[in-house]
Amino acid sequence: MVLSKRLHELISAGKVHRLGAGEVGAGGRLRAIFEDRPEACPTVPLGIPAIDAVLPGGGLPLGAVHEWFGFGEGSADEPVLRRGGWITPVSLLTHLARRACGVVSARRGEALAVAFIGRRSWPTPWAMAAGARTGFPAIVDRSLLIDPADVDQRVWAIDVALRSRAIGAVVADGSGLDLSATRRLQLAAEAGGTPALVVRPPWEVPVLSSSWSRWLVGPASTGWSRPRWRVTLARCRGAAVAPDAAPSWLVEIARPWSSEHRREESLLDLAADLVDRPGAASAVALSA
Amino acid sequence: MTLAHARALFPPGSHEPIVEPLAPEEDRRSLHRLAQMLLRFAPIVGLDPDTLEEDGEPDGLLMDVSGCAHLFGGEGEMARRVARSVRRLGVECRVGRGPCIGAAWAMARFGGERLDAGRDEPETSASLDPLSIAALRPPMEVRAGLLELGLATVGDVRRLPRASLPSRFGAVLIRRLDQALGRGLEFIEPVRPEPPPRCARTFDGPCVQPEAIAGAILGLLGELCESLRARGVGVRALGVELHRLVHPGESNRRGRDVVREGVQVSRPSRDPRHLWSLLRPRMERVNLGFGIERIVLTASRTGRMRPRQLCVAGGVGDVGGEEEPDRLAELVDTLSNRLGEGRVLRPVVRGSHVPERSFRTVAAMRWREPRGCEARDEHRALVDLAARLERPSVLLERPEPADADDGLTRLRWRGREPRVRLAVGPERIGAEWWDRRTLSRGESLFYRVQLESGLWVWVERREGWRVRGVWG
Repeated sequence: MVLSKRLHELISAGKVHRLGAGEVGAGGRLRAIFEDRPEACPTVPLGIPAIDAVLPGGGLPLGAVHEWFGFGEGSADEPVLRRGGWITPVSLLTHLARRACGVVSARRGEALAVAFIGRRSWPTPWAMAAGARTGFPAIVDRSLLIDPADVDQRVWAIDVALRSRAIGAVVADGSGLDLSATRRLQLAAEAGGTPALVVRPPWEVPVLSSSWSRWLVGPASTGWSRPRWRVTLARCRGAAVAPDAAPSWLVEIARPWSSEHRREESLLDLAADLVDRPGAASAVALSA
Repeated sequence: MTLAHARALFPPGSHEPIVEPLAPEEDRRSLHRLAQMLLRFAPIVGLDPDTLEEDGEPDGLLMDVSGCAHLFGGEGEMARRVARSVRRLGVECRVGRGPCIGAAWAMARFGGERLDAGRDEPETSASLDPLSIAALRPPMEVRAGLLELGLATVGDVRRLPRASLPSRFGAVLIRRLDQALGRGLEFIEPVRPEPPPRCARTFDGPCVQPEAIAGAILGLLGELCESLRARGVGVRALGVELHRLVHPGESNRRGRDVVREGVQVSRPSRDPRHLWSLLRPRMERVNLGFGIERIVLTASRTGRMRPRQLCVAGGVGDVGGEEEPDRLAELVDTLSNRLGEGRVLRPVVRGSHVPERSFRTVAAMRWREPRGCEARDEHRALVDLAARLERPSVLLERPEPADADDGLTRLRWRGREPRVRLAVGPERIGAEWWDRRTLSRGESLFYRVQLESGLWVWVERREGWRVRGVWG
C-alpha cells in the first residue's frame, strides 16, 4: 500500500517512464506514459466530467485496450450467468466508440469506421444511430459487424482491425481472452493508435490482463424512465485508484424520448451529473 | 441525303436535327459489345458482313440458335426476349428468324409486319416472294439490272428459268438466291468472349522453395496489375493456378495436377501489395507436392476503376502520383477472405417498426453507399427516425419466452421471477398492411420494463409474453 502510494506520487510527478516498443532502436528515447502535456498521450474524454476528472489525461488513452465487464440479470452466480447469458454494456460502448472514432477521425483528418467484433458486442442500429446530433456523427453507416467463428479468429480480427488505418475504434467481445492475447491486443492498439473497447463477462474479473483500464458495469435502479448503470473504475494505469475503494458513478443515457420539448438538453448523450436533474437528487454521482 | 438537305426538311422554328459525327470505329465496337452480350442466348453470335449501310460497315448481328431456342420457350419467345434485352440497352432492333441466314436476314430487314420466314423451303419461299429483290442481298449493279428488267420482287426472280440466271446476272445472284432459300452454304464468324487478363510463369523444372514461388507470384501480380492499368480496370476476383508435380498413382497417372486458389475483393484493386496480402495466407497452406512447374494468375472478374485526378502543382489533392488505397475496402477484403464473406457485415436500416424487419445486415463486400439525392435523403430520414425511437441496444437473437400477469408486476424470465419496478407502454406495433408477408403477424404490444435489479428489458405481448431485447 505504501509502495503503491509512493508510485502514484511518482506517476503524478511524471517521473515514471516506460520504454516504447519501437523506440529503443531509435536512439533509446524514453516515452512518458503519463505527462501533463495532453499531446504526449492523446485521450478521448468520456463526455462525463466527473469521470474524466479522475482519469489521467482527462479521458481514455487512444492507443490502448480498455476492458468493460458486463453483468448478469439479478444474480452474480457464475453458473447461472454462464447458463443464462450475461449482458454486455453495449449502450455505453457504442457511445464511447462514437466519441473515440470522432476523436481519431479528427486527428487523422478522414472519416473512419468502427468495427464491432463478436456478436455479443453488436449493438442494434437504434443504438448506433443515436447521438446523430451530438456533434459526433452517427456510426450506423460507418460500422463493420464482424462475427468470427472462435476465439483465435476473434483475436486475429481485433488485431487486424486495430492496426488498420481505416478504423477509428474497435469494440470487441473479449470473453475467453488470456493474458498473452490482451498483451497482443495492447501492442496492436499502440501500433495503430486506435482504442480497443473490449467487453468481458463478469466471471473473468480475476483473469490477468495487460489492459490499460478495467471497468465494471452493472444495472442501477431508477425512478425515472431511462436506463441507468453503475460504472466502477476497477483499474486504470496512471490513475490514483485504490483497489479497495474503486470510484463508481451512476450513468444514464439521455434519450429524446421523454423530453421532446427539451431536445437541446437531451443532446447530452450520457449524463452522470444527476445532481441538478429534478427528482434525481438521491442518485448523485458517487466517488470514493 | 446531305446534312444540309436534312436541315432544310425541318421547318423554321421547329427543333434542330440532332447531329452526331460519324464514328464507324465506335459503332463497330458497340456492335461487338452487343454481340458479346447476346452470347448469353446462344453460343454462336457474329457480326453480319452484309449491310445496307453505304460505307459497308456492319449494321446487324447473326445468331445461330440451333439447340438453344427450347431453353427460352421456343424460337418466337426467344426472339422476343432477345429484342427486349437489346431494347433495354437503348438500341432499337428487329429480330428476324428463318431456317437459314439469308431468310432471317431478309425478314429482319424487309419483312415488314412479318419476322418469321417459316420452317422449311416452301414456307420460306412463300414468305420471301413478296419482298423486294434487295432482300436477296445482290450487289448494287445486279440489283440495278434486275430493276431495269422490271423484276422488283424475289418472286419475280425465282420464277425466271434458273439456267438463264448465271449468263445474265453472273453466278452471284443464283448463289444469293440459294442462300436465301437454305440451299447454299453460309457461315457465321463468331465473336469470342474477351479472355480474362492472365499472366503465367513456367519454372525451369519443379520448384519447391516457397520463397521462390512467392516471389514469382508477386512478380506476376505486378505484371497483371500493369496490364489492367492500361485497360483502366481493376481486379474484383483473382484466381491462381499452381501446376504441381505429384506422386503418380492409380487416380493420377500423369503425376501432375492443378491447385486452384482464389480471392475476391470488394472494390476493384490493382495494388499488388494488397492482393498479395490476401493471397499469402492461402499460398502458405498449399501442399507443393514434388514441386510447382507453372503458375497462372487470372483476373477472372474485373471492374472499372475510375482514374484519379492528380494535382499537378502538388498540394492538398496530391497523392504523390500513386492512387490512394481505400483502406476500409482493404480491411474488409482481408477479413472477408479469412473469416468468410458472411461474417463481415454492414448494418442497413430499413423503414419498418417491426423489430425483426427494422434492419438487416449485408455482406460488407457487397455493401454500397446509397446513391443519388433521393436515396441519401431517405436514408438520412430513416437513421434520424431510428435515433429517436425508444429501442433497446441489444436485440436478442431469438425472442425468449417469458411470463407475466396482466398487471405486469412480475416477469418470469430466464428461470427467475423478479419484481417489475416500472413498466412503460404499451407501444402498439401492428402488421404492415402494405406488405403481404407481415399481414399474418398480427398486432403486438411492447413494454419497456425495469426489473428489480434496474435492468431494462423490452417485452412483447402477443398471445403470451416474450422478451425481445435489453438495454445493455
